[in-house]
Amino acid sequence: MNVADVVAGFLILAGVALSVTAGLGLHRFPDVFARMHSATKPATLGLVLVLAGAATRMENRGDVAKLLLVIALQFLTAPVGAHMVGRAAYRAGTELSPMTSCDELARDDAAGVRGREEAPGGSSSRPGGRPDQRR
Amino acid sequence: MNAVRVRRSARLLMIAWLTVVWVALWEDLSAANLLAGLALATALVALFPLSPPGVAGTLSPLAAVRFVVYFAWKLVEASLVVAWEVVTPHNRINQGIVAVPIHGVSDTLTTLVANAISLTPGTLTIEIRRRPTILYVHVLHLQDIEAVRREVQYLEVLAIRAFGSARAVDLAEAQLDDATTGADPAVAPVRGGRKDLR
Amino acid sequence: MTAVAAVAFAGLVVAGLLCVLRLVRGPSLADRIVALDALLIVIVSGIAVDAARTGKGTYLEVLVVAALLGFVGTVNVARFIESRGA
Repeated sequence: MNVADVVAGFLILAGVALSVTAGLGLHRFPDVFARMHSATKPATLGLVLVLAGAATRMENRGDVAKLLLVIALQFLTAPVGAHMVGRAAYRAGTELSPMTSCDELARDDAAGVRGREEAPGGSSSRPGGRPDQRR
Repeated sequence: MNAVRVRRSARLLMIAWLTVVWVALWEDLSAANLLAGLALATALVALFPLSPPGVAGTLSPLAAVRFVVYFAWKLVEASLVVAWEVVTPHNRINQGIVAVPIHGVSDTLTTLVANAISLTPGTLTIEIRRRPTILYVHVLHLQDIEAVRREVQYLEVLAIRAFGSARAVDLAEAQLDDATTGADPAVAPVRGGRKDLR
Repeated sequence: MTAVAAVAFAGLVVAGLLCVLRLVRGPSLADRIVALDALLIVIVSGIAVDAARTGKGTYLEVLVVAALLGFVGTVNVARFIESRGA
């Protein structure tokens, strides 16, 4: 067992642990937006670690290039995907969990502004004006 | 004149990137493969023109390295925060959506900051409005709204220093000096900016 | 290395099952697509672990395609949610 194998094993196990954390977070968090936090951050880092661990074990240089390519693609696409789902869920009226303390987007929407009024803070609890579309 | 130059260099960058992807997928670094990749990339870029990215950006290598290191550290911290939240029994979740006005130098830079925000601890970009540029960020542990705004704006200043044009850098640093920021007290604002001007 | 791979696969199975559980339970469509996104990452990790175990990169193109198609699927479901509701 040489150093490269130990490093690869460590990276892979750390990455898998983060992926398990991401899966657990899908259940522990109360609503869609918090679950998206869990599905992007630890999942992306976990994937990067697993791919990096696999890259140290590859016999062929070209395979390392492919793995690096997947890492770059994941960095580019994961936040965009999460943002799009989050925006769509918000616009579709998905209810934020009752633990939400402030919603400045709703305040700006209600004020009908494209910009923002100079109101400091604004921790108004949501009255639940948007329709609940849970299925 | 500036806009034309930007468009051409963005295309060249895209052709170079596509060629790299092609060569990486084929694992073949021969001249024939390289030429085939270049030809295919050029054909694709010619057939599907992208809109010009906007304000031209310069790459400042030191600031770019600083941005990448900060971002990588924040990504690790984000994963650890989520892992800790998952493992500990009681919930300290206090969610909120915070409106953060940022400079919004160009579309590309705004996109970069919005994407980077989604990978930093506790924040996720939900909505972006332009002119004036506001990011609506969903925060997981909301203790202090102003602290969230400062962190996002600090990240944006780092990105502008790394990838923005000199004029944008000067503008951003002027505002960074004015605001009493507590995001990173170890940061010493650079006086005078960079001397290279496009 | 095979011991590490075995432990890694077990962990990935657990993570995958958690994602599938959320896929089945999740009250809204947005929950389900988030679970599917995480499940895709688990699948890609699994292929990578197997590639690390053998050292051969036979299936690495699948990784690239899976990552891209997963993203395209997520974006399209997001657009669907925006137009039709979760």
